[in-house]
Amino acid sequence: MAAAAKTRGEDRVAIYRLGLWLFMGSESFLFLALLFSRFYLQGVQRPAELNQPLGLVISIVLLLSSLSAYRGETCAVYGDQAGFRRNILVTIGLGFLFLVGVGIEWSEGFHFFPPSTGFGTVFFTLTGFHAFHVLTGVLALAAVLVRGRKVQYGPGSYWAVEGAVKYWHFVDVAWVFIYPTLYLVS
Amino acid sequence: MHKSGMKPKLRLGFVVFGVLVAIEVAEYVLGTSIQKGVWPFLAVLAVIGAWPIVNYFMHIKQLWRPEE
Repeated sequence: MAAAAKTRGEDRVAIYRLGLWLFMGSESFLFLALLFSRFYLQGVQRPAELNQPLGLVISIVLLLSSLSAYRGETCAVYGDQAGFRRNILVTIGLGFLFLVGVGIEWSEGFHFFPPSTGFGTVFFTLTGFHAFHVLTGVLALAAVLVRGRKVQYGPGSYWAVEGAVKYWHFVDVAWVFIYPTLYLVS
Repeated sequence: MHKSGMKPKLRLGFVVFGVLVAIEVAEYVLGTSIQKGVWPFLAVLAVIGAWPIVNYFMHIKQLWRPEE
């Protein structure tokens, strides 16, 4: 009886997992369309005023957040509640730091390449769409963190953490393609 | 699940992060120092950078091997 219940639980997680991957796959097409619009509208031109060092710094901040998210998930899998909370909190903080970096880029962008220009259209749409995903990722991570106060995550009961963290990594993968497309292609 | 298995996984995270930072820095150096025809190299580096995240952080293999 217990074994059958366990199998049913595992099947359910497998279905959730597949659903999340399908969702992320469909989101990828949106990002791909926006990435290609950069080449369609602007070719490989880029304005000289782009803040290159800031672009690199926020990219590393997002990669660092993926590391802490991975560590948070690993801690949840092994039932280390303190490690899970600490790492997810760091991830949320780094997510906000990334958004601050994008905000600085935007304030500079409005001055040098406003949304009415070809590059501005692409830049603000892509970074805005991505920043919205970062914000929803932060909310998802905050939700699992709050839930973690009531429930103990551990072996066999960490799907909520896994789902939120997978989504966070997806947002990171999207940036791995957005960063060179916007900042470095020439 | 025994906690002794946790440490190697946490260490793997640092290795993957190191590789990703190295790729980002390589992209930055290429993109800012070469003025023409750099996009094919950046495209290849972006794919190489995405793979460790999808494989090690997102555990894509769980889709066909749930025990991973």
